[in-house]
Parts: sequence; C-alpha cells; structure tokens
Amino acid sequence: MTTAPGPDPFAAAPPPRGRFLHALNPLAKIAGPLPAIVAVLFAHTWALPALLATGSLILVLVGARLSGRALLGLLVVLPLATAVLTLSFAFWSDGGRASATPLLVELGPVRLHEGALLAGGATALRLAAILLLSLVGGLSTTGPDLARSLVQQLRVPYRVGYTALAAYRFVPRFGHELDVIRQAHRVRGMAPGRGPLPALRRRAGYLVPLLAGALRHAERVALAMDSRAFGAHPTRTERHLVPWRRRDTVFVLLAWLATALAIALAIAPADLIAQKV
Amino acid sequence: MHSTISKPAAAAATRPRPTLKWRVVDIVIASVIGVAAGLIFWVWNLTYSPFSAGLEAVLPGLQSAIGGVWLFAGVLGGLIIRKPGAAIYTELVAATVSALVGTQWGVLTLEAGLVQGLGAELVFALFLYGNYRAYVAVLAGAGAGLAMGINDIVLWYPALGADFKTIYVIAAVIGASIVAGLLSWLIVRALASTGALNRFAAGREVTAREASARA
Repeated sequence: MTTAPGPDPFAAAPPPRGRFLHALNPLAKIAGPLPAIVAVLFAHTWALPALLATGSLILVLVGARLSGRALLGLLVVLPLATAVLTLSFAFWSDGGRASATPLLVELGPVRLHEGALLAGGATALRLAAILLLSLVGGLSTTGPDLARSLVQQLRVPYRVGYTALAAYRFVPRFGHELDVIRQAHRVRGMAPGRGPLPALRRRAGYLVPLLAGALRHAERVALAMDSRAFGAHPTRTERHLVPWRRRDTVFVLLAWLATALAIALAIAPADLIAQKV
Repeated sequence: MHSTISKPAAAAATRPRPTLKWRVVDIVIASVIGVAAGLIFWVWNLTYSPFSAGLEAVLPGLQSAIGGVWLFAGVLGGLIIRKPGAAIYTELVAATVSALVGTQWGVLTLEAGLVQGLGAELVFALFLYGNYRAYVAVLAGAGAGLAMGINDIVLWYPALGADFKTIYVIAAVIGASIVAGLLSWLIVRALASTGALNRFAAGREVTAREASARA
C-alpha cells in the first residue's frame, strides 16, 4: 500500500453550517428520541404516532443536511407508503372487532369499516413514527463517529468498537467479491434459466464461497491487528474526540420534554381515548 | 504465513477447554460474518417477495416460514465463534449492515436484529456455551424464529386476528429451525471442510473427524 500525499481521507469532516443535528454527539441523537420510540411501540391510537412523526419530520428537515434522495424519500415516498400500509392493514385487519363500526366503502365482497381504517392507520403511523424518530440520528450521523462515541462515552470496549468499524469498511470489498463469484458461476453455467427458482438456486450457491472468502480475509486482518498489538493495552489514543457537550444534554432534555408533552396531548382529550381500537 | 503464529500441533491437542474470552480474531471474524450475512440479507430483501406472496396466498401467516433466511447470521456466528454474545453480536452487525446498504424497513431492521439475535443467544446460553451439535443449532434457529414471530405480530400485525398470529409464529419457528438452524450447521460443516475455520474449535472438530475417518 502506498501513501499518497493529499488530504487525510479519515479526518473529521467539518459540520455543515446551520444544521445543528450534525454538531451533536451521536449518542444524544439516540437517547433523545428513544423514550418516544418506546412510547410509540405501546401506543394504540393514531394521535401519539402522528404527533411524534410530525415533530421528528420537522426536526430532521430543519436540523439535518439532506440529499435530494433523502428529501424525496421523506416528503413523497414515506407519506405514500404510510397511505398504502394504512389501506392494506385495514383490509387485513380483524373483521370481528371492526364490523360494529360504520361501513365506509363496499365494493363487491370488499367491505371497509371505519374501525378497520383507524386500526390500519394507527399501525402504519406507528411504523412511520418509529422510522422518522430513528432518522433524527440516522440522517446526521456517520458510522465512524457513532463507533467513536460508543467507545468514548458508553465505555464499549474499544476492541469491539473499532473492529466492527474495520469490518464495515469491508462492505465494498464484499460487494466486489460477490460480483466475482457471480461471474465465476455464470462462466461455469451454474443454475441457468429464468424465473424465481433458478434465481434462488444461484443465490444460494453464493453463500459458502462468499463466507469462506470473508473468513480468510478476516483472518488476515486479525493477524495484522495482532501483529500491531491491537488490544494489548486497556486504553487507546483517539484519532479525534467526539465530546459530550452541554448542548447534547440540552438536546436530550428538550427531546424528552417534547415526548412527555406529546403523550399528554395525545391522551388528554376524552374523544381520542374513545377511539381506541 | 500461519505457521509462524500457530502453536505446535501437540500443544493444540493437549490444550484445555477453550476460554470464553473473546480474542481479536473472534471479534474480527464475528464482525466479518455479520457484514457478509448483511449483504446476503440485502440480496434476500430483493428476492423474497414472490416466495412470501406465494406462501401467503396458500395460507395467510405462512409467509413467516421463509423469514428464517434473516436469522441465520446469529446462529452461524454462535456456532463458529462459540463465545457468549456471539449470536447477538453477529445478527446485530448483519442487521446494521443491511440497513446501511439500504433496506425497505430502514432502522427497524436494527430492532429486529437485536431481538432475533437474542432468541438464538438464549439457546446457546441454555447449553452453557458448551454444546454445538446439530440439535442445538436447530433449537437456536427455533429460538430466533420464535423471537422474530413474536416481534413481527406485535410490531407489524397487531390488528390481525388470532388465527393469523398463531400460524405466523408457528411457521416462523418451524421455518427458522430448518433454514437458520439446520442450514447454518451445514454451512459451518461446509466452511470447515474448506479449511477456512482452522483457527476455531468449530473447524478443528470437523477436520479431526475427517482425519480419523481417513485413518
């Protein structure tokens, strides 16, 4: 491996201006939304997921630098997917409990009751809310910084944290290896033909070569790490620090406060409780 | 290359019961199995829907039988590494990688990975990390399948009927016992016979058996 002069590819990128989520500790962006995610898991009405989904959508739109693809996903794909999931969950849902509620649509054998639609909407909104809440951290955190903060603040053993990070850097390599295996199989004419069954047989055949190649590669990496005395000392110097600042504490407390407010708002009006399905 | 670091064969033969402490090579291999499995999950994410839809058309709920493909990472990691936490760690790394490469379920993949890894891990722990025979692998697969089934009916299908939920969980357990359990055990055997596992007890066991069969 040659060392070409030039900018350090592993240096910390300066956080984008005005996008405050990027300047927070990765753990703060997990700890803040976590109680909200737990609350959504136990929510039965649509009100709490809707409130939290909207809140986190605004937070992501304001606080994170988004690519065009991410914007498209958040503003077009996600609402569409929620609508589709609402309808499909509504049609699948337990007819017995919902059939007492008013009938909305009847198309031949298909009957859609209001209760079924509400239950479907609640389930779809729960999934959307969990996704959006986890995107608060997900869209503004890089993997290496998350690993660093896990090691520096949460005291995850650095032997595990940095090894996982090294393994993640293998992903492009495995993509390439999968391509090579695929081509080798094609050259040898393994499981030719079209349709799902030959495709499945082809894909099953990639498993053992891919894993054996991965293990051999990993063994070489482990040897290289051992020979550099990785893990010999209880502590380790850091390439750069990911500190926990006062603004991280403020963010977490504000997020918890907002969650508590959303829960209070969602359960306060009696008519919303009556809609519990 | 390996001869410079591996111990003489005589020392390896008299070595006492392997420790449960993780070596660097254990962490790297577990991570790499996780990463490779994550890529396989990603391929499966693009492939599974016709199979799932076909099973669902036969009997709603039956589609969970093929979910076992997403559970093999934990069982495989546990079978190869043979250390506490290996199943959870591998399944979680695999889930993380498939989420980072891009799945239709986004970050929910991580939660699923954690729960499913726990299901397999508990079975290995029940056998005190000392038994890695085929039936333990099948049970670990069943544990992961049970965890997946319960997780999915709570998170994805809360509004569906009890019949669907029962079928879903039972199919998940049976499918996972075969796909994640038995298949992982067969994969370990296939990998061991390539020689890729020679630094692990899992590999030495198979090569010793083959050597004695030849003798």
